[in-house]
Formats: sequence, structure tokens, C-alpha cells
Amino acid sequence: MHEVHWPIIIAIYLFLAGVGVAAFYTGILSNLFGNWKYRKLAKYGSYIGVPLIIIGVLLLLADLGRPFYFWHFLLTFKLSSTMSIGVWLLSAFVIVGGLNMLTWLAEEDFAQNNSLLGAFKGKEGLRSLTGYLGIILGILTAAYTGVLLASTSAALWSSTQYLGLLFLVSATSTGMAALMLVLAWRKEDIGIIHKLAKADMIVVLFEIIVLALMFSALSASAPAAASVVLGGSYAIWFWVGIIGCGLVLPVIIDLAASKKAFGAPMLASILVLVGGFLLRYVMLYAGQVGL
Amino acid sequence: MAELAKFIDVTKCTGCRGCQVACKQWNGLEAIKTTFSGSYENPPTMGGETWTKVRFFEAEDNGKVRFLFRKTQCMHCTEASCAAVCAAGAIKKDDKGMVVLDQNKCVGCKNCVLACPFGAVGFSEKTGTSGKCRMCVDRIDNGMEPACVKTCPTGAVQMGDREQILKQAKERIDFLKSSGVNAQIYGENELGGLHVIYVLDDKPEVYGLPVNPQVATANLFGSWVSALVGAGVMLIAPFWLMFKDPGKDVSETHDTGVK
Ligand code: SF4
Ligand code: SF4
Ligand code: SF4
Repeated sequence: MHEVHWPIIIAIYLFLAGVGVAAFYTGILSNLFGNWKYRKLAKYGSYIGVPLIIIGVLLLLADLGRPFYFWHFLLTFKLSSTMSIGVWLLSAFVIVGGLNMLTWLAEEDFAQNNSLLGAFKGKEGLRSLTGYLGIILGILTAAYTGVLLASTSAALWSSTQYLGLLFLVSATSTGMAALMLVLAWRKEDIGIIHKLAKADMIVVLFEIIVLALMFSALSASAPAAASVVLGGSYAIWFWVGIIGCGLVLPVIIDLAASKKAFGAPMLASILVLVGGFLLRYVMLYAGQVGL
Repeated sequence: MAELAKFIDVTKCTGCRGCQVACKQWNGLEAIKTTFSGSYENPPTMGGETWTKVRFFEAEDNGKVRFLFRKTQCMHCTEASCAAVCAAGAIKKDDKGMVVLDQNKCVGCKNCVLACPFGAVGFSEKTGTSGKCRMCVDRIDNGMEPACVKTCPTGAVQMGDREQILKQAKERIDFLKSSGVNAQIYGENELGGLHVIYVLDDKPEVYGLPVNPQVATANLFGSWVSALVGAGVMLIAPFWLMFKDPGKDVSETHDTGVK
């Protein structure tokens, strides 16, 4: 194995951060466009998103050479530093998303006698404000995970402008998959799950287009780096894992599945999630070959 | 204050690696355990405990092998990628053009390691921070030459005002050219001007130097724009298509997710 400066823990972080913010904003967006009929989606999105982001940030800190000096990040704000933008986006998201989650938790049965959570009960204005803000912060955060890699000197990452877009689209699809998985597990309305599955299919198609655009651009601007993924040591992960299991198979399953079963959307979402993680892993590691 | 620069004349370097040792000594850097890799070049890469290193190259001319050496270290770029990406504000450029990494501020995120176009920064497990050549600014402030310059027995490494160094480099190149060497300067304009100026006797590629180095943040704006434009289409379309609520007029109930 070649030397890597950013190891597997960073791949997990990029993945969790993407799933987390995307579960949050896809939940709210569905509800928004659905004329407020899908509040379950907004609620579960919040429940999935906020904890995942917190775990992701902890992983990022764990990978630092000196984790207990992380507060140095908070003394700096620098637009030229994507990492700095990311630190502030994540911090803001944890606060904004956290407040949003509290407004939902306050409605749960167990919170009825809890004075702390009670303070957040019926705070529709707060939920609305943090929801809208969270959409913006979430989308920026999902894009940041790709732009972070792009602002380096690794040829695979820096020779294309599509990495931010790719990670954003992939995050969106994994976020929806996470939502579907939770809905299916809780045996919620199958109609909503199938709507989500359809929406996810559209996103997956976008992702395939972005991947094609990116690698055709890379094959021209950084052929050696592109071939590590397309034909080199990561090719099997890329073609079988990311393209096959992560993108094509879920679409086929969604198309073929009966409209009543929970099994098919569950399987499709698991595949999307696995593919999303592999995308982070392959791009992260292949980009560091020969550095 | 006038900008300074280091002058490295590869035609005078004998590959003795005195500079490597001097740098480790002055900066208190650890020795690295290495194994023989088939070349006298050692250790294999620069790193958090190895801020300068002589790289060895073999080139062939009409069946004759030439054994080439180049001292590598941070180039003290005017457009310094490492300083641009550091989210802890640990890397700063001073008024003499020297790019200095403050290990007290560094959190060890390794972003600079991945951003440097010359592979000149490394991470040290020992300190938990990144490290790189600091042009011995403390020595310079006290009227001394950098440790590697001081130690170089052949005069292949020198330090001075950047203007002066550029003049000296060009004179040397003229001289080498007059004796039939394909001499070239490197560092005058790359990345806004480096503060390490090389005199090479062959193309930069032969010496492992990037011909057209780019600052790591060159793509930043384009990446954000393409992501956000894409976001517009890609996020709105699926939700609008799948979740839009046709027929009914806007019914503002309070049983909502956002409202
Ligand atoms: S050579 Fe690398 S470490 Fe040195 S200033 Fe330039 S980008 Fe920074
Ligand atoms: S490793 Fe240290 S010096 Fe390098 S970017 Fe991170 S905080 Fe800055
Ligand atoms: S200038 Fe100082 S820190 Fe830089 S390579 Fe020379 S001895 Fe090392």
C-alpha cells in the first residue's frame, strides 16, 4: 500500500459528513416541495443528520496530529483555506441543525416531562428558520467535502473542477438513502419511501453524468491520475463497487421492485450508501498515489 | 525590507549531503531509520523531520550516464499553497519573502502536506505537527547564514538579496552556456517567484521539478461555482418532480416540517 497523508478515517469523515447534511436537507426539501405533507422526512432527516455530523467532526479531530489544539482552527477564518471554510460550516451546522433537532425532540413522548426540551416545544418559527439555514449550510458543507480535496496539489483532485459537485451529488443520494433506510426500518408509509426512491434515482442519474464529465476531463488534464482509478489498482473498486453496486444496481432494483415491499428500497439504499463510501475511499486513496 | 533568496547551483553540488546533516543539527530534527533503496539518496522522502534532502538523478547522454544532484527544500513561494490552505493560520510569509511554519500553532491536519506542489512539507509523528524549511530565519535575524548554506563546502548553496541572487544566477548561466551547457534558471517566475533560485544544467523535468507548478487553490473558485450551479439543478429537480403537490392551493397549516 502506498503512503497516505489522509487515511481511511478521513474517508469515513467525508462520507458521514455528506450523509448527515444531505439527510437533513433532503428531508426538509421534500417537505418543502411537498407542501408540508412530509414532516416525517424533515424530522428523521434532522435526527439522522445532526448526530452523524457530530461523529464526523470527532473523527476529523481524531486524525489531527494534535487534536487538543483544534481550537487553533477557531482563531482563523480564511476563504483561501477550504478546511477553514469547512470548520466554520460544520460548527454552524451543528448549532443550527442541533436547534432544529431539539424542536423535533420536544414533541416526542419521552420529552413531555422534560423542562429543558419543553422549552423548544411548539417553536415553529425556530424550526423554520433553522431548517432553511440548515439547507444552505448543508449544501455548502456537502460541496466543501469535495472542494477540500480539490484545493491541493494531488493531480487527481486538483485537475478537475467537478469534485465538489460530485461529492455534493453523491452526498445527496446517500442522504436520501439513509432517510429511506430509517423510514423502511420504522415501517413508515411505503408511498413516501417509493417517492424518495424515485427522487434518489434522479440524483443517481445526475451522479453518473457528473462522473462521466469528470473522468473525461481528467483523462485529458491528468491522464496518469485518472488511469489509477479507471484502469489501475483501484479500477475494480471503481467499476464494480462504485458504478456497479453503488449506482446501476440500485436503479435496477428500484425499477424492478414491487410497490409494496420494504425489502427492495432497503437493499437499494444500503447499496447506495456502500457505493457512496467507496467513492470517498477510492478518490481519497487513489489521489494520494505517488505523492 | 528587501526580499531574500537562496541560490542553489546544481553544477557545483557534489552530493555530499552536508546540508542535510546541518539542517537536522541546527533544527534539532530526528534521524530517520531507512533501508537501502538502490540509491544513495536517503531518506526516501522529505518529511516533518527532514526539511532538506539531496535528490539523486541519473540521466543518459549518448550512452554516458550522468549522475545529478539537487538539494531540495521548501521553495518559499510567493504564492504559497501551504499558507493559503492552512486553517490554523500556522504558516505565514514574512516581509523578506520567507514562508515560515509555526509549529506551536499547527494542529497537524496535513492539509499543507497535500497542498505543496513541491512535496516540501511533511508531517512528524514526533511533534504531531507538520514541518518544513524555515530558511533559518532566526539565524538570518542574527546576521548569520542559514545552516545549510554555512556548511556547504563547494559554494553550491548561497543566500542573499533576491535581486542580487538573480543577477548572480544569470551570470552563471551565461558562463555555463558559453561552455556549451544547456543551462537554465528555475524559480524566477514560478508561482509568483520562488525564494529559492536554481541554476540547472538540464531541463527542470530531469531534476524532478514541475515545469509549470500551480498553486493549490487555483481551482477553488471554479470548484465552488460548478458545485453550486449544479446544486441548483440537482437538488431542486428531484424534489420538485417527486414531492410537488399538484392541484391543491397552498394550504398553510401549522402541521409542517419547516413552518
Ligand atoms: S514550496 Fe511548498 S511548503 Fe514551501 S512555500 Fe511553497 S507551497 Fe509552501
Ligand atoms: S498541518 Fe499544520 S501547518 Fe499544515 S495546514 Fe494543517 S495546521 Fe497548517
Ligand atoms: S535554510 Fe535552514 S531550515 Fe532550510 S534547509 Fe537550510 S538549514 Fe534547513
